[in-house]
Amino acid sequence: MYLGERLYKFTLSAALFISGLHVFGQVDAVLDTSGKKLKIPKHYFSTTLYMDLYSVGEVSINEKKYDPNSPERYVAEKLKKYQYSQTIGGFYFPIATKEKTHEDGRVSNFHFLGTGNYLLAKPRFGSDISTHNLVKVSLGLRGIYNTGGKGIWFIDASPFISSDLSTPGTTTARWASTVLYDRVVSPKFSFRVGFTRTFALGNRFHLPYLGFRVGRLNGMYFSAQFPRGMTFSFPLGNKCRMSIFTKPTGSLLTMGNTDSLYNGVTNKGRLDSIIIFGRYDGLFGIRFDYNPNRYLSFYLEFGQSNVRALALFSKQYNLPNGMPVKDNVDIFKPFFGTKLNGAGFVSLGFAVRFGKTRSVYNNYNMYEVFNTNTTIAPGDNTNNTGNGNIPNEVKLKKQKEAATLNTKDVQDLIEAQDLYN
Amino acid sequence: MKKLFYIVLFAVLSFSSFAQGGAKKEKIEALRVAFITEQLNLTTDESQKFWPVYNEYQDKLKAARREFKALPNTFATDKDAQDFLDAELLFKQREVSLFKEYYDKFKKVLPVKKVAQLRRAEEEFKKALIEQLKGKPNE
Repeated sequence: MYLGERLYKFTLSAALFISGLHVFGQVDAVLDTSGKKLKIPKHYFSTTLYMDLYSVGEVSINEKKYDPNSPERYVAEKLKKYQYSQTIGGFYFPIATKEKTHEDGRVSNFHFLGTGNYLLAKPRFGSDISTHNLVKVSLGLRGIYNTGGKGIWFIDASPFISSDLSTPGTTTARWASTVLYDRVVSPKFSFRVGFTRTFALGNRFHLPYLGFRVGRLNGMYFSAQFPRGMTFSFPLGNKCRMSIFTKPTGSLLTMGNTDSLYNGVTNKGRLDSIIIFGRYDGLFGIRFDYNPNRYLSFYLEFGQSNVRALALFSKQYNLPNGMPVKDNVDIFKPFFGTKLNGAGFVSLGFAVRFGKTRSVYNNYNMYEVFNTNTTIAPGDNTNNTGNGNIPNEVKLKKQKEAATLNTKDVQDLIEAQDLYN
Repeated sequence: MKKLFYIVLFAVLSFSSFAQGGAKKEKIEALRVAFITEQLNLTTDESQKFWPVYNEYQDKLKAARREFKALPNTFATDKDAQDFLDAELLFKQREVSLFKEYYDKFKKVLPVKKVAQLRRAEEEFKKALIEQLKGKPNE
């Protein structure tokens, strides 16, 4: 069994174990003023499991744009065509939540989360190339501090390993991280500044993180987050939401050089057993979210990928004058890179949240905390599980719907003697 | 992986029907919050500080209620009945102590007039619910 498969089983077991553990462990006993213990939910975040499927259409690789004797032409002729699909399964769970009520009455809180995910990528090329199933496994940590005033601090560390399931000995470890400060100026406006080290654009980048949002998160809003994308989102009734978005998506994964794609021609015959597969898709599409309740979210995205690139890297190729690139800093230079024609894409997924959590009605700082957590997907991925844990904004004219209620629904709100007043 | 996706999706859909019961209560909670928001007319700063404290108050109140309502309401012995009465007394004491603790906290983040309006808004919302219920036969 290859390392990738073992890690897949480990991640899955960890997800099941942690979700089981947290369903029964999310209650905190606090003392009330009468000195008795009161059991209230411990965390604001639920243990969440999610899954995301993504697929983008097949395109031909135009070999004629390269010189007939060039190494790029050799690779392009071998690849012929390209199609890509991936599956992500992941989880995050609250490890600890600390809350403090300050002298001025504001409530600050710190959320420490564990994250994990497994990505299985299936790039498909022409008949000369064997099947490669590439995996990326990440187990990370993130901390979010809500000052209770206008500030939110976010830090994420997502170390991951990538490997080719079909080729042993291809495991490579990498490290992605994000640090940012989020200013909630008002419920209708927030901005974010920070720094991100990411591989989600098809290479290793160290970029500033800049973003802003206009409009309420539980209503209609526009959000632009560099390098994570732009979204115009609005509710469709109480349980659905529609968004028009553009976002980059990509990855840097390890692939066995079993098809001799890197043949050392360009670098004094130095062969390489591992090549690095980099891809980038600039998506433009429509998204529908369906949140039947706070425990579940489903979503569907579809549209067109217009700005597309495929790149293959080799460490040997990146040996300038025999010196290796600084593996933690430099951007890799591809031995083969090509822009691709546009193609349609589809993505669908769901998130399941377990256990009871503390109430967050109208707590716009917590809404922002939830949104930050989903915008920056764990494991340096670009999927977004949505904000199903933000309560929908309810218009009072819809109070007429309360006519369908029964005593069971309202027993926590009224008492028997209230009925006789 | 696809097989796993279908298995998980099936589990999710089963879980979905199980979780529907809580959705109605959540909606009423959201309605109450909307009602109070309209009545209190909070500024952005007041809102940012008030709702976390109010949600905490409600979580504790709900926990106290849940604990009391979990007790059996049929009594095989006099001791069972006495235990129930003691628990009810404790529940009422808790309600009052939470009320005192949190109204002090509310006064830190809201003008006292709005704290008084909050109590009225909660009562008004209760009345609206009762009006809806009175038209329905007992279950």
